[in-house]
Amino acid sequence: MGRDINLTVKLGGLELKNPVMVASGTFGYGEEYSWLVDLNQLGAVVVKGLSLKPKLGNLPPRLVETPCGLINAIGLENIGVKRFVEEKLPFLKQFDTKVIVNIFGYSVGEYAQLAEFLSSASIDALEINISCPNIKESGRLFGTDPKMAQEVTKAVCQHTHLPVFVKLTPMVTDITGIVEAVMEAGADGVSLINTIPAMAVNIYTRRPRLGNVTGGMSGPCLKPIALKLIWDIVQKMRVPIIGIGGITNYEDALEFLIVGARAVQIGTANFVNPKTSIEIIEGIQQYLKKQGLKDINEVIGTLRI
Amino acid sequence: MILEVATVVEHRHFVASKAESFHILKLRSPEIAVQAMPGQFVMLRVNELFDPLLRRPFSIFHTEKDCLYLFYKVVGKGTSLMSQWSQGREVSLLGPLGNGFGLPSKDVPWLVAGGAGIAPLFFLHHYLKHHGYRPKILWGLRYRISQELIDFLSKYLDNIVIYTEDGSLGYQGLVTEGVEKLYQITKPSKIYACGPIPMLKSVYDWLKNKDIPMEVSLEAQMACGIGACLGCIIKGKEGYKKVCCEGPVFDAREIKWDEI
Repeated sequence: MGRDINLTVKLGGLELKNPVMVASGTFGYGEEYSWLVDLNQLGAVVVKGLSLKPKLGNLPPRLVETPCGLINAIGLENIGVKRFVEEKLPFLKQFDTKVIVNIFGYSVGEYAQLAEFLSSASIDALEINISCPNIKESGRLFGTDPKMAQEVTKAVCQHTHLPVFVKLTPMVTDITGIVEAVMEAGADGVSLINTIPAMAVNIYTRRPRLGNVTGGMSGPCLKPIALKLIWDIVQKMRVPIIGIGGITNYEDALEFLIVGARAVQIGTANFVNPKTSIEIIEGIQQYLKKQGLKDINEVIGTLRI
Repeated sequence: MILEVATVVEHRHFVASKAESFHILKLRSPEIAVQAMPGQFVMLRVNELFDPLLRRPFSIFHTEKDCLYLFYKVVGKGTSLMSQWSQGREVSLLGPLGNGFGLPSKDVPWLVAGGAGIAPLFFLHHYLKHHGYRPKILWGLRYRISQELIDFLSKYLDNIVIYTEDGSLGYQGLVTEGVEKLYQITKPSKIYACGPIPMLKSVYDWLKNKDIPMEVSLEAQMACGIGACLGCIIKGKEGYKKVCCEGPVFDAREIKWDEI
């Protein structure tokens, strides 16, 4: 099916066979879902955020469900970049898909070290996380200040030959300022949005429902917010954008592409229906066929106003 | 690990006034049912909408040929919607997930349940009997259950003692008191427990200095059920443990009970 339809998209120095990836933190290190999802079909797998050293993560409880949403406060628990390369990457490399590694550090220097270390590994791109709401010490600070965002991005780009994407928080007054700053620093593109800071309370114990008190909201309720932020960027500049936020089906994905994202990431929906990403790829193909189109790029950024 | 569209074959509601209500859902789920082991669970999708968003974890209560049974209580939005399902409805199931119970080294094991915590122990009871053991079940409830449920359960279970907090069925008191009393007469080869955390803690506190193995089946909020989201961790003596794939059955001595 769809051999005559082109789904290939280009994002800076990264070419994907289709615009559908699975988002960091929602797909483990790939192996967890490989029993249910044919990884060969995906545009890319973005692995769980990695730090230089293994990280334990936050105290439980770590999850709260809300109407059409999920608040998480995992706290970037991960096995560390070294163990990832030794133990997890070889498995992922068996598949015909791009491997994007999401990284986070506590200082500009740590981001640079991560970039350097991963550049010798067999991966396809880096995604810099400067937007996790669950890490007090770092993360969001870098993501809300254009100067800091630029500094981190520059440090990463100077230490790697790999394409670099910067994952952004929606919690800024002017998203375009941040995008300009990171693109100037050498990024190949941006991915947005990360989760929105959120919390929930148990009224009987009067305690927060998350061990970390606050967390980050994901899920279908985010989609309109994400679309609007991408639209803000698209109106001002032409940059490779990876759209993220509440995508659950091919219609959602197409909304992002029409607004101007060149690719999308599927996050929380993986938990609900592990085959979401595969169904989206098929759905996009069908849509193009029905619309009499032969190339996904004929849809990207074609919002009619 | 299988993602399967199951079909509701039968849905029984055990409701009576001044009684604890439970529901038993029988699903035709051929691939999952034949693989399931006692202690394992399924992640069930409540509907095709996204509210409620996440799948719900349920211990497997019983299997019979190509069908599996879930035993549940209405506690929130998900189970409330489920309780309205009727025959023929299609349901997305992911399973069987997690690690099941281990066999005891000798007879007689005790199965200690609180409320809906009977679910995995019912399956285990059947399995142990099949392997020649003579398990005892101690089940704690807040109030009585309907006569229909008693009749249903007695078809499968023998050697069951019920404790209710208000004394409306069986012995009055907590199941943990029952465990202590029974221990004065006879000793278990192993204890299997599932129920609310305070109950599990109390059984563990009583047992920890005795030379009796104990396995518990734990519950946690979870999103994926397969070890990817890291949302369902609990504190173990050797660090965090994922309830979904390192459990839900744990050796009770591996858990940091005073910190959960």
